[in-house]
Amino acid sequence: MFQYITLRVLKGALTFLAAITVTFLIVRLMPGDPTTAFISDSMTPKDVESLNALLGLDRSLLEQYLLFLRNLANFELGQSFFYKEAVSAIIAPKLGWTLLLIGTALFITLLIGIPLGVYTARHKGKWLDQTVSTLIVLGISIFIPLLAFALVWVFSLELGLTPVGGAVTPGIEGSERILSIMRHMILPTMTLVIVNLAQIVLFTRSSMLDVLKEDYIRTARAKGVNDRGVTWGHALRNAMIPTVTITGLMLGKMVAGAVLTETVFSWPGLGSMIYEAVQKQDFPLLQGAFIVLAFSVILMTLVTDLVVAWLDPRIKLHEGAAQ
Amino acid sequence: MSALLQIRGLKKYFGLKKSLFQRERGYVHALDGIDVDLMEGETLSVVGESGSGKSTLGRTIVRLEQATAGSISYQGRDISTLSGASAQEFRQHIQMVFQDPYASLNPRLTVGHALAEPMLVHRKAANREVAKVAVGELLGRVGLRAEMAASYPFAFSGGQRQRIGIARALSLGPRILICDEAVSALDVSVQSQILNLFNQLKRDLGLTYLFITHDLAVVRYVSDRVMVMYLGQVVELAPRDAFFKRRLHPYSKALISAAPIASTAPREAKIILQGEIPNAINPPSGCRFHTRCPSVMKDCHVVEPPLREVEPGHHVRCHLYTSAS
Amino acid sequence: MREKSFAQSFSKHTLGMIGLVGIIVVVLVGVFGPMFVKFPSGYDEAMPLAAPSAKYWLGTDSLGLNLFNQIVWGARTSLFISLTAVAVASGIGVPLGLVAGYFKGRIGALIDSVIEIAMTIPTLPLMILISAISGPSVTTVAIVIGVFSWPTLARIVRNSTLKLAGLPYIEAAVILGIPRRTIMFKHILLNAAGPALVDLTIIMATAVLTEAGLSYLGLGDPNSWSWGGILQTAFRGGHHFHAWWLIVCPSLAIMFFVVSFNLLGLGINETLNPKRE
Repeated sequence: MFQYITLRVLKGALTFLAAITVTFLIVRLMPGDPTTAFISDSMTPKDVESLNALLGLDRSLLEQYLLFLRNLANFELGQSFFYKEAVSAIIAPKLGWTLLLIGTALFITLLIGIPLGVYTARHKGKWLDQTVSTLIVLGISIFIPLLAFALVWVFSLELGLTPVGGAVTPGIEGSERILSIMRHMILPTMTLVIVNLAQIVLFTRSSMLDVLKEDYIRTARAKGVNDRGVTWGHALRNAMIPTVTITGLMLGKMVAGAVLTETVFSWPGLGSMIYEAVQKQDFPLLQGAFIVLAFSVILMTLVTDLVVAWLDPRIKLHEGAAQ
Repeated sequence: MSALLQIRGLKKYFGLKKSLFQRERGYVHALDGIDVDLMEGETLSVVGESGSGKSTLGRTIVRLEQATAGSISYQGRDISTLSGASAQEFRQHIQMVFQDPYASLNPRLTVGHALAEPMLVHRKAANREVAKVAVGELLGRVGLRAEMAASYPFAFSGGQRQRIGIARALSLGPRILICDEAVSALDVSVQSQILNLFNQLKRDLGLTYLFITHDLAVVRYVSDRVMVMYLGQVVELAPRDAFFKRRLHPYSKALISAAPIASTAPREAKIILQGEIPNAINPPSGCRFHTRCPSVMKDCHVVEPPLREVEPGHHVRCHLYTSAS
Repeated sequence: MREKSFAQSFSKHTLGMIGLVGIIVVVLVGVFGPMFVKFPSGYDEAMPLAAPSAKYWLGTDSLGLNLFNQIVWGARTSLFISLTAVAVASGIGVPLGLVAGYFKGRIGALIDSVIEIAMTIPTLPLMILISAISGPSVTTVAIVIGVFSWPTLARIVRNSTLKLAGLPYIEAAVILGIPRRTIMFKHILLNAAGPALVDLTIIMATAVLTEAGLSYLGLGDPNSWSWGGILQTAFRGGHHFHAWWLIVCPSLAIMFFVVSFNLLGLGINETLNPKRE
């Protein structure tokens, strides 16, 4: 077990290194003068000089890379073109908002999705299963901005139930503030949930069907375990393993979904920040956002892998076995 | 009759890897020193339980597995160490027929394509037209119709698929066929058909067979000689009639007595072996069979008996026969 | 015992067949449509933002250009994007997957690790970064999507290869002296194609969605009349609340495309792995 954890963490670290190296290379090796990616017209010569010193833009690629890594270790992510502040300072609060959104959406998705997947697997072929299956196909095909706009149209504009955008009504404190945040969170979370629900249900249903076919399920039934016991006890635990695995993979997609969702709802997270940064060609900000996102996703994937390891006895046994 | 294949001291060990950080710990001794000659034109049956190494023997001969030690000589050359062009060339001489007719044909290739491909690869057929004709002939030889070349495997029954597999093995004109449980997965009625086919092909094409099986009834039907294997070693090797009339090794006796025979004639008492086959990672000391042998003696725990020719053509590896000749 | 061929089994799967029909429609529109329909360009003062009518089947946009024409040309763009993405992803992913699955030793493990690492990196932010730097271009977007889709495909191909490599008919090919390259790229690939094909349909569907997303973020190429680009122009212009056709039509087109491919993928998947109890 310990060996597995070590290996897994090592792999995560390697992945992160790969991710940031790719970022580094993209920005510097793209066609065009690489320095323009960091130096905008609105900078004074003094700014340019200090930027050069910080990033080593006039030195060799290898030296730049090492400098880049060192800066990263110090949480130094460069300076935003537009805001003229440290990127890390800008990103920090926004990361929280994004994580709040993604975290809640993920939680709700799993809460609804897994039981739904299990249920449709058990009642395969009946009308509920058919309906859900059709909805699933629609669900994975949705274009997020469209869905988001539709929700805003219906709930905010026509029905006036939810706010149109933002994360919180400014100026409120305390518990009222929390309520306000929650109200603002409804639509964006709903958007993310709908899109990812389809994926989770599809996958849970699929692995559940695979598991239910297995011989050990037949044995359990023959032993007299009732239907519910079979489903929730025996089958679920094993069907969970691929589902948890795919949750890890889904996080990457959720981040993509979050970017689009936040933009529509003006949710002040990393997603809308990326949108703005793209509009304003603020490359240091973009780069910083990506690095932070990559780190978060890799970390969350690592956690899910470890959960899988905890669930899957085969991994624990693997090492102690005699043969 | 000359020896077509000479196997000397053949060993195959499979290493056991524990994990990424540990090195190999222990080996499975699948083949532990095999010496045997395959005579031209004979059918040599290899029998044993699972774990005896009989399949590994066949697979090592056709180079699906790499021998760990020893030699396999064919036409004066050691084929176990060949590589490159000479290895390709040798492929034409020794081929294999597999056990499972439902897994031995590529479902996405037509029968004609599967049979023609080896011929084209080895330049035995100059082009597709020539190959097509040859494929038709091959199919005829195994009792199928030439038009079947256009179909896919899913259209055929188990017996037919096995015939196709045999045709494919014959496509390069080999002299030796290794049949790895080639009839074990077939219905009994189909089995006899295929066995007859094997016999006929042997006569028509002058083939030599190494017939790997666990079914003694099959052995009795097709063999010229019988070789019994236990835990990676040869324990008895004899002409068929001599073997069935009087088998010498205690293990062979147990095998025969366990085989179901449809007969109401009185039979010898059933010998039921105690225990299970020991694992091949740590074979027992001395004679490997001593843990289950009903006739075990004092020496058996300590000294490994050599394979000795006790009667003309009849070899046994057992202490019962190695003291004074 | 006679089994059915793949085509026979697939034709029984209703949803899959629907998807297939949808795709054929898209292909026909995308390939032949532009021959009959004029490329939308310039500026037509006559009828900006006109609602759908007999003359303009789907209405017009803010420049007075016929939306129907835009959608038709957009179909071609969508096909181009998804096919390019598939080509790039396959070109990288299939060989790597085959090699990773066939050579079990160190090479296999190495490629495996590369695949895993590539899979975990969140792709949209990177795509945004690349597109932002390199400027709007449909080709770039398509290639980038392909480059970020190969790991999943490679993983699928690798898993199939692992399962197939031990099968007797592959061993038979080895014994018959078929060269390794042929074994991998013909014998194994033909059988591994099924699950890989499912992933390809997903890649095609995702490619169009991703391009639409990137266009929405302002990174698309408006001259290509991709459906996402049409949406982008619509949102940007702020017309969405009264010129509903500008939003609905491209969105429906996107959904039609994506749903068709997803249905096809579902059909292929369920035909390959029937989950009857």
